[in-house]
Amino acid sequence: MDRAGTWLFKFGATFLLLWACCWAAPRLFANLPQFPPTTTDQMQVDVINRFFQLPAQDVVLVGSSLSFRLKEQYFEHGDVRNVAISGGSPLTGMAIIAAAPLARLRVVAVETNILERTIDNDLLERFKNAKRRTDTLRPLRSLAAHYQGVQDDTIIYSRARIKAIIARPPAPDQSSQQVAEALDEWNKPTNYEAMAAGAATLKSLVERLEAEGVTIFFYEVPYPKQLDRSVYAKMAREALARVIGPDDRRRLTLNYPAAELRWNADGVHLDDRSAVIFAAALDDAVHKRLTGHDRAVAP
Amino acid sequence: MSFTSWQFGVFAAVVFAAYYLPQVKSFQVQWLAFASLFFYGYGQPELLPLLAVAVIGTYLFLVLALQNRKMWLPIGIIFNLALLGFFKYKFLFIDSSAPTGLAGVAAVDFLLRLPLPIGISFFVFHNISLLVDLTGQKEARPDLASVFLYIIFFPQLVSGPITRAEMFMPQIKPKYLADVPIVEAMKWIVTGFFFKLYVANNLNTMTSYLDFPLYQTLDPGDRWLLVLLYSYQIYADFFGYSSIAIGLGLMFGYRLPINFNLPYISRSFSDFWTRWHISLSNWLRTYLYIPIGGNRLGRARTSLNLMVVMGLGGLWHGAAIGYLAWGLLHGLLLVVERPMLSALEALSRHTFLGPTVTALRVLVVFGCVSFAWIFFKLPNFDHATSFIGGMFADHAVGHSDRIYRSLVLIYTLPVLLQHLVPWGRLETPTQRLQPYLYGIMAALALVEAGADTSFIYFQF
Repeated sequence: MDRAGTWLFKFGATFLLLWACCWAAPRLFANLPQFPPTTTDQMQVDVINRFFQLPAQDVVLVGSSLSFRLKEQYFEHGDVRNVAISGGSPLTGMAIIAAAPLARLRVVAVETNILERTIDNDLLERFKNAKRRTDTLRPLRSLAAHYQGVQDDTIIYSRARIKAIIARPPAPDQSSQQVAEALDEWNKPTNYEAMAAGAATLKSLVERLEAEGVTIFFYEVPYPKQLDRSVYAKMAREALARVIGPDDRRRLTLNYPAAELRWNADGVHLDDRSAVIFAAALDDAVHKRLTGHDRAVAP
Repeated sequence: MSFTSWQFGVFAAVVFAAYYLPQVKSFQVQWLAFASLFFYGYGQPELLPLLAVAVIGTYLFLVLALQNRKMWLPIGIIFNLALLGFFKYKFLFIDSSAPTGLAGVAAVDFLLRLPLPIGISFFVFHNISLLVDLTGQKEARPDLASVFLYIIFFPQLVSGPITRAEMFMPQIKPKYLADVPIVEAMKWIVTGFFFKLYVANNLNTMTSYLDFPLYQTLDPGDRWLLVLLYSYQIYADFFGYSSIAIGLGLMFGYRLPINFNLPYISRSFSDFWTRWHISLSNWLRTYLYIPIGGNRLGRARTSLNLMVVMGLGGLWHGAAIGYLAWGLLHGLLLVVERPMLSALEALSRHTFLGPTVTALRVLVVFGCVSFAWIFFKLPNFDHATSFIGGMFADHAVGHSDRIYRSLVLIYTLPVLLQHLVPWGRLETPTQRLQPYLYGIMAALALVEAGADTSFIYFQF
């Protein structure tokens, strides 16, 4: 082999070896460090990408930004993939999952707070017929993600850290002013037709997934008391009840200490500690249903 | 067709495989010209006639100018500048999306609605170089296929390097596979893909916050950081493209000019312009700055010439006030530094103070150049000035958590290492390691590639 040939052989062998290692790593090791999206427009796409690229989990959450805050690490059973879309709707997540071939899902838990937002067709088209695939390792980015996780533990939530979050007392209520300001808006007559249409779409998507053997549960992310009694919240519940009935077996009964819940300054999204508490309740309720311990309302 | 698409990979492989076949040997030039037409027409087939008009028109003026340079050379240049002016700057005056007729004449409306032809700024400069160089040297009339190849050779067609005719035309001769410097070509290509896919595309996910209105959510500190990151990104993007072009050129037996030489260690602004987009600087100096008097007509006229050349150089990039501002700002920096250069050079050579002065000069030049890129990234002047205002605000507003310093480090590191490590001195000791290093770069370009974005200079 001449000098150029030797050079090319060494070059090609190094390239292939490194690429093969990066290809094999995610297939051999689960939960390699991942970076969160770094731009706003990436966030929605990233949520769906993760669903298709990371290993499948038993339970999938679909919802809006209310559920987006429920980080997967908060769920003690460790089998949750959160497909809630910040700024989006549960319908979009459901529609993308329903359109994906070979989804092989077991459980989809659907947030029912926000029903008036329609399916994001751009996002749906982008992921229509997308298949689950395992990406290759991005070694330097994973290294940086690991470093960032050590530096900034908002990325990696170990059980110890989650316990520490729970152990601290509830934060002072900082959202009352925003809640009071939001209440006027939430009490205005809302677009009930849009909610009803969303509920009808949700029902058809639920039936479609159930026909494929997927178990569906519904849950509602808690609001502050005043917003919980608002016209908007009541109408959303009514729209859903009209479509699926008030005592639908899919509704989850969630047990959490409501008095300990707090919301971010916007008055709508749960703060970190409350999100951990609520995720634990959701995790518990789903698994009680799946294991048959919640016999009173078992499907 | 982007260099980073799989379609381009297939295209380049097919063209290369056929190029050195014995059956193709006698019409290699025609084969490359045909392949280049396919490359250009793949994205914008409706603009192929324009390309044909530009090339054939230039060829016609070349033939005429070889007989009467005084008369036909200016007309040939005006013809090309008119093409550039019409297609590049028409959008300043018309709204091409208007549903009604723009001029009332179907053919004119069709022309007015045509999009900006990719690479027009580059191939028009090639045309002018062809006219000036060949008629100046009273060369024999080249054949049309060679002229086509020079103007539309696909590695350099859409974003350069701007190759001067006197450099390229003598290279048009039969090529042999055995003569291809395959290792050198691979090094250029791998380096190019690495800088584009790994550095530029990943930095782009962060610098997209510089766009309007996203920058409004940035804290002042992050605005400064992103300006520096954009500086690295635009370098990695354009250097990457140029490197791929040079490597591809070598694969087909053509040596294209080097376009970058570590511009961010420039000690002066005039030094910067001998290191950044070198082929454009050379073109502007040869065909514009020197013909209008260069530095031969006194200090005031030299300053004016610099401002004119840099202003036009800015406008060459696009029809927006921001590009003009960017060019004029560079012109101003060149004018201001000119009287101080000798003193600064003397200080830099001082035994004791020299290294410190040189380092400070490099920092000042890099800082000013990076600042000027704001007008490049935000060609809308109002957006640019609003962004700059926010850089000096004393309050925090935004989403700083999305710009992770660890990512900043891993994606800027290649540019920093390239500029700061004395690779020339390490060439011999690292000789044995080179194939492994390039193998690692190729793998990282593949697995660590950022979200696909077009090359920044494609828009010009």
